[in-house]
Amino acid sequence: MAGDYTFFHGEAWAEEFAPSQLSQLVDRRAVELIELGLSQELKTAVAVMQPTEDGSSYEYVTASHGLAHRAPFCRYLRSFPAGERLCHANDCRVFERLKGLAGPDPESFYPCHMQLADLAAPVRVGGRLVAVLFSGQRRLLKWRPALGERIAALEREIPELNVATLRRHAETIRPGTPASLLLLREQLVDAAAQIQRFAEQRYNLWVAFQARERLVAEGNHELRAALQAALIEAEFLDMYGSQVGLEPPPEIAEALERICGEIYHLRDRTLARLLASRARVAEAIPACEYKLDRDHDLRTLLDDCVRAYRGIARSRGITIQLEVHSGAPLRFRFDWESIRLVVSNLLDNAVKYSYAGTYVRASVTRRDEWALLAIENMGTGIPPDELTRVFERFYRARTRDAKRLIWGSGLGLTVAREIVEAHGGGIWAESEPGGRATESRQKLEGYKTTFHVKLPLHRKDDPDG
Amino acid sequence: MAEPRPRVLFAEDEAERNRRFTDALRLEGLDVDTVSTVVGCIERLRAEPYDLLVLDVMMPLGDGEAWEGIDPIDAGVALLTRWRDGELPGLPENLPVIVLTGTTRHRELLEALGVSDYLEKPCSLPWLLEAVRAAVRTEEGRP
Repeated sequence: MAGDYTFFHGEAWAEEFAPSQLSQLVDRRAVELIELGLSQELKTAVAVMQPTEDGSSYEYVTASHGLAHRAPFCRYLRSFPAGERLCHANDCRVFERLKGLAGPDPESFYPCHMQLADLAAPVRVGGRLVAVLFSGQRRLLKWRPALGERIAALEREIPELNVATLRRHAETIRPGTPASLLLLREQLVDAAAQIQRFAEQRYNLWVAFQARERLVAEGNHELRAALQAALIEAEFLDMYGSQVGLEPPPEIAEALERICGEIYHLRDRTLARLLASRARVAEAIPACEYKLDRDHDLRTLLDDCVRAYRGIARSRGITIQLEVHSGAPLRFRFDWESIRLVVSNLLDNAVKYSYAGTYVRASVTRRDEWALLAIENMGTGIPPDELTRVFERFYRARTRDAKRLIWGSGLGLTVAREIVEAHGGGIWAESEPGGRATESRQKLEGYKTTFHVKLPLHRKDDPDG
Repeated sequence: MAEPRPRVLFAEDEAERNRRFTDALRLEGLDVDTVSTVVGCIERLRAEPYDLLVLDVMMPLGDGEAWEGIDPIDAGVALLTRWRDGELPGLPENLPVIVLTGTTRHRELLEALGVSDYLEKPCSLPWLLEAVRAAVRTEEGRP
């Protein structure tokens, strides 16, 4: 039968309170459930936040599990201005709602249950609250066994909060008691069954989701492991073959280089897409996100990138020449992965927009306190009025040759500029008529296009520099 | 007397597949031992001094072993979180760790744990060697 009890779960409540209202709802503490996006298991964490004195922001007080004291997490939390905080369902809303209800003192089970509940169901009979049920998958428990013990202890203290005891309460109402109590008993049993069913459904969904995630993760892992093994096998022969009596003949060495190039290319394009999607979200990739704890050699990096593109270039009839003007290593502080992305974006463009049978020249040199990197190609070129616009988001250069269809996101150069500028450097392009090229027996007017990157050898904010 | 060769422990369940990495490390003058389970890794780290651990985080816990509530796929990550939280007595406190991983799932967590380097597969051999050299160099530079 239909009872007049009500089920709530997070999503429903999320609609009732705008995030800006939350700060008024909580008195001294704000609880936030924050998506960390680490993994399915570690997706959620509860942090206790306290409004700062001037009310402009929140400061971090404590959080529910071990991640909280890690520096990036704290930085992340502190970065939320009041009213714009990322709030998820079923935490403070549940808590606040409970505070307004009769029944067990919500303070007594706060915040432990909040951390784990992904379903909270106050059960009312005849407008009267008789129980509040929490059900959760206890995702966090596996990382924090001690937390599990605390929760078990709390549950013992608050026996009302589970289906079994709800049923037991119902059983105490024996036949022969007044009709209203019999009705109550019926409703309690019905409520318990519904809650159980709901929890089970959610659990089954969660299991199915987990299975799918796992399948994807395992496939990803297998693919990467296979690529890793192949890459190392090939590179080992290239680097150490002569030392161990396995030096490959030139044709095989060339084939190995192409194989490595394909693997690099696959990896770099995947990485590029990831970073591009990050850049799309916000200007908010602060400089501290870059990993600047160590010096690297820019020549090694350029060499690494050129190796990745040589095979692809060759398949399009383009040769990549590597020119390194200074003999000494060009070691200074930069984030390897992001600068590698810049260089591979530039090489990718150079190869894409080149005429067949031409050269792409990659060079690196040192001038005063700067490392200068240039990638030059001969191809369709960029019209003068578009030389600065190519760095704009989603901008794709009009090529002079409308017949060439070239794929791209229009983000590569935007991302490159963001990265280079975050390193305190600069990036710019030049394009000028530069002779003739022949492609498919057609004589084409070629444009020499050069992308320049300059990076400071000493960072201004670096105390050592 | 010759300088002692830096000792590296390579924890990877498919070490044979990555044999060329250990070959290269040896050719570069390092001593390399390999282990293929998390439990084996802990035992070895307790028993012998190393200068560096290269850890593939997706590796099995060990035959017949179970850590309550830990999905076997995450055993390597759990090793690091427990180690850093002081739940695994007898492990060296400041051993540099290079994480090698076939998934991006745990990136933020692992970086937050303060590993020396975080390398996603596929990772080039020169870059792997560079990371190892840097980590061992830092270790030598310690007072």
